[in-house]
Amino acid sequence: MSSRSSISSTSNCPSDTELEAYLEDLPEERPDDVSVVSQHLSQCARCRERAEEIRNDNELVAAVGNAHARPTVVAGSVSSDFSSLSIPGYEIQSEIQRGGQGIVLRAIQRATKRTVALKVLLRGAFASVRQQQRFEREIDLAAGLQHPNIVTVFDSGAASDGSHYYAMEYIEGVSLGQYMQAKHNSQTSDNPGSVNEALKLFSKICDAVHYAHQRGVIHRDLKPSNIRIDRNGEPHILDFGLAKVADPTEAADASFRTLTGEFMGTLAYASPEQTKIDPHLIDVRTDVYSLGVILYEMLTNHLPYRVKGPMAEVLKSIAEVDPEPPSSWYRRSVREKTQSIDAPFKINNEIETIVLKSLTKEKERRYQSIEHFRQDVEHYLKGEPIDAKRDSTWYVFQKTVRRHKTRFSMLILFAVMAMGYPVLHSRGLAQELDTANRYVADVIRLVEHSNPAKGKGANPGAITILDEHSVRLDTDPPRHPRHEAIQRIALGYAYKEYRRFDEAERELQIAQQLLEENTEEPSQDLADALNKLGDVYWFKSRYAEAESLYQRSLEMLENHFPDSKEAISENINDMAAVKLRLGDLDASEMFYRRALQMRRDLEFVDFPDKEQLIAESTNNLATCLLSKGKHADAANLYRESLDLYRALDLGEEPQSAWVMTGLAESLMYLEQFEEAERLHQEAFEIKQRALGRENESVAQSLHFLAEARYMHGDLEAAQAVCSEALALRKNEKILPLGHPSIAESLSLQGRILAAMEKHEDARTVFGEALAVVRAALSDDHYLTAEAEGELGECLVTLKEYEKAEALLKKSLDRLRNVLGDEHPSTQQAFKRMEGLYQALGKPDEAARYANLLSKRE
Amino acid sequence: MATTLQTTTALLEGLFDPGNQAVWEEFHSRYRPIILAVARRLGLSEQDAADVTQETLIKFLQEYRAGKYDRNRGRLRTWIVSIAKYRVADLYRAKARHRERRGESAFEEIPDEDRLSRIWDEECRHEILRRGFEELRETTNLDARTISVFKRLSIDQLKPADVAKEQGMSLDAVYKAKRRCLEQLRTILHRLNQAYEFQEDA
Repeated sequence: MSSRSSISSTSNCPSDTELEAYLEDLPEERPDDVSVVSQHLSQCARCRERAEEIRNDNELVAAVGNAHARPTVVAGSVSSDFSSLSIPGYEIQSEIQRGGQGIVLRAIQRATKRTVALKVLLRGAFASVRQQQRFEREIDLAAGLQHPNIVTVFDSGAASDGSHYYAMEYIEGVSLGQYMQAKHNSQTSDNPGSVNEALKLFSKICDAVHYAHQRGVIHRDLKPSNIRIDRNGEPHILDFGLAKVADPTEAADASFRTLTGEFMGTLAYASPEQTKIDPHLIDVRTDVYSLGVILYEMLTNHLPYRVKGPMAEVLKSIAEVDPEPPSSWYRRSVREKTQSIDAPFKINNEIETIVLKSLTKEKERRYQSIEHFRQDVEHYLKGEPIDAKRDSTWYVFQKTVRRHKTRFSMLILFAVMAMGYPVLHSRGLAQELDTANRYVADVIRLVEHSNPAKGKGANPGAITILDEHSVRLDTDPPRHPRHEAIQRIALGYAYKEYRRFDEAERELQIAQQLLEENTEEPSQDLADALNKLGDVYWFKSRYAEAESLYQRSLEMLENHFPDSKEAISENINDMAAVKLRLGDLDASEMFYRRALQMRRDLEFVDFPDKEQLIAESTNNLATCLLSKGKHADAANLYRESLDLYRALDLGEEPQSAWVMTGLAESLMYLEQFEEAERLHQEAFEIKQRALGRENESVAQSLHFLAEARYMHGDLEAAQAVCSEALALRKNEKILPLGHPSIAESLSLQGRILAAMEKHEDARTVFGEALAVVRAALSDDHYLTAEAEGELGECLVTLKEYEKAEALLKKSLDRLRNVLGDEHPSTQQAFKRMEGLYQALGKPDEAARYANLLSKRE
Repeated sequence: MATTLQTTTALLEGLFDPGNQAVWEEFHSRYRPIILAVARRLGLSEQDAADVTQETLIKFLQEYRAGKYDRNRGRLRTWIVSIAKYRVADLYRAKARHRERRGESAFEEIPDEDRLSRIWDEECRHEILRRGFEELRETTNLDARTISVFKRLSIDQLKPADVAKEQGMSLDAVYKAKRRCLEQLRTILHRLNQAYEFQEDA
């Protein structure tokens, strides 16, 4: 090695040709005198600049080449006759393996006389100098790994033909794939010993991978052929960090270029993020996924999804298709009597959960490290509880909805759904589940994109599709009850969104029965079915039934699935809403506050729509406070919610209009009529624009606009607008018969008529309103009490004192009980009593009630 | 070959004039290879890719003339990609029907916008490089031998030493030829990048 001072003056600068040759040649090929150039470069800034220019030049030359290459061309080739190949220091004996990347040879290292494996890469394996440098860096890292289950790399260099090689320990034995195949063929499938043996072997593999991870080396290409099993049954992992660097094309992009058989084999173990083009997405969890596929295959002797067919489809499978449940293979083989060929192991629920967790598409939901994965396997082997939690249909719902936030082509969806799903009967259970899950996902998408309640425009075809599928489930149900149940849940949900409550109720009841009859255990599916059935009863104004269902669902989730935070907060929110309807305002407020707090505590990473959930909860809490007569607090919360929606750029969406309506109503109580009316008008316009006219939400706004006119004393206009609202609300397509909101508009109509001195007409309308609330809610609901008060007051005017007194007394008792003396409705009731006794000529009684009026009055 | 290269913006303005066939031809020749390559990368056969490309360009022209494209609201790439995406979707859908009958998975999905945009950028870069090389070959004052050396180095990916031997020239001469070509190519590429208004996302 020359001394540092040997080159110091610029007169020693290498010529262009020398520099070019230096940069182009591989380090191993450089004759000794050229290393003078590298010495020089370390000292001469000008030459470093020249070298950089040449590198840029070479990259552009390579880029021109790449631009002309056909996408499917594989660069380079290995000479078919390895005997012509010579590698300094090694005596080549035989070829072990040949593949798309190169060949593996068995050789003797002359200096040590030991047998080694040489991996010789394709000529032209490196598109650029930079890539080659990266490869050399990775070799250094890999050489630093010293673990009994990792194949040691100890040398690298260039062969006689210029191709690169690296030398590693030679492991006599077979690949993991061959090893497991032999196990599957020789052992009885339902022997738990086979499974445990496989898991122990797997745990050792994990241990080695974890060791490498701790040293910053990610494998990136774990697959059975990269794991050798020696004669003692010990695993040895090959190619750490090397496989993808040595790939002639960039790792992810390779998927489009090299469609060779070997690459397809590799692809089966690739993670969803590896199918994306961005290499930065790859981290230790990528190896978690690949090991998941390996474990899956070790246990089932199958891959988790189809990897045959066009590349685009395979990539799609990896990124999108949920794996077939591993346990299904055994069941299928028993049923189809194919055990001797397939020989999948019989595995239980817990292992299935572990495998599926490692195969989650979103890496955030996988095991976050190999060590976690290994520990869960060990937990199982020791009979301890495992950490992994199984996905529920509810989760499938959320996931699907999130994944497809971007606009979908409805045309495609309709086409696919209208073609119908294959008759399930003729299929295996795993495919049955796959079909069921796919159906669930499609239904959710269908609803998401054509939801009349959310202003997406009704699709008459959608109902037909749902009906047809329902009939199909009746006549030819899936064999596994859960598979039927989850489809029924999806159907129930869709029917509900399309306002077909009877159909929805039926589907969800069947789902509930299926789940309850076939398993004693609580499940997230059942919780989901109960909650959705609760929603249906809610819409049918059967609040007590809804409440008990929500409660069961909530308890099940809190006791058994405390991690399902979003579902729990949803249920708490539903409890709050139903309590509000049932008139238990304190309980309602308590639940709403809990839901809001839970949503604030959600992790943004897991719940990207967290802010929207908070806005929704804030609005709900405000509505509760509004009912409690806390108008100023309500108004503040409404403003908070509206600000959130506007910040999310949803200011022109229906949900903002709902908040505006609430805010306007609070402001009416606070006597800020001008702003209130402006907000009502704005809300009305947004709703009508987004949802069309035939809509409860629009009716509600019309109702409030009528109320605003009424407050102004513009009675003619008020009556006209109120009639419009009433006509909409009495339309059964918009609200079910006897819905409490109908009573709300009837009551306003009554007040308007009373103000117009049409007391007989008013009495009829108030009577109708009372009948509606009584039937929809209950006799002692505070809204019933308010309706009684209004009718009572009307009867006083009509001088029917006896009936009036009975109604007003009952009304007042109830309101004092439920809402307290300070509530505006109770105060109103005191005034009515005062009016009654004045009309009856009982000034003492009248004064007694007048004294109960709040000092503020 | 068009002697003066108009920027894509200028082409788009010209497209409004139905009588201006030259503008459409230039637009067509500029974007057809890119769309075609993107379609091929999505796994379409040559025939399918050609059909999709043609449909995309026609749809583009129709919609563009109908005033549906607002430059201020998104890049041209985004728009063409989205049209192409639906053409591909139609094709997938048609194929899905066949698959369904054969009992395979009928559900098909198109890569997301992000991935499509990346593929687009790569293919756009490739197209500019190809066109740049073409122009280098046809319009420069470099002699045929120099160009041929460059072609052997780049497109055929030969080593300089092998090229020197093959052409019977010194290694030094090979390197010189490479540098002269690259110098001119860079100027051409700079102009093409401007004309295509090509900028890759970070």
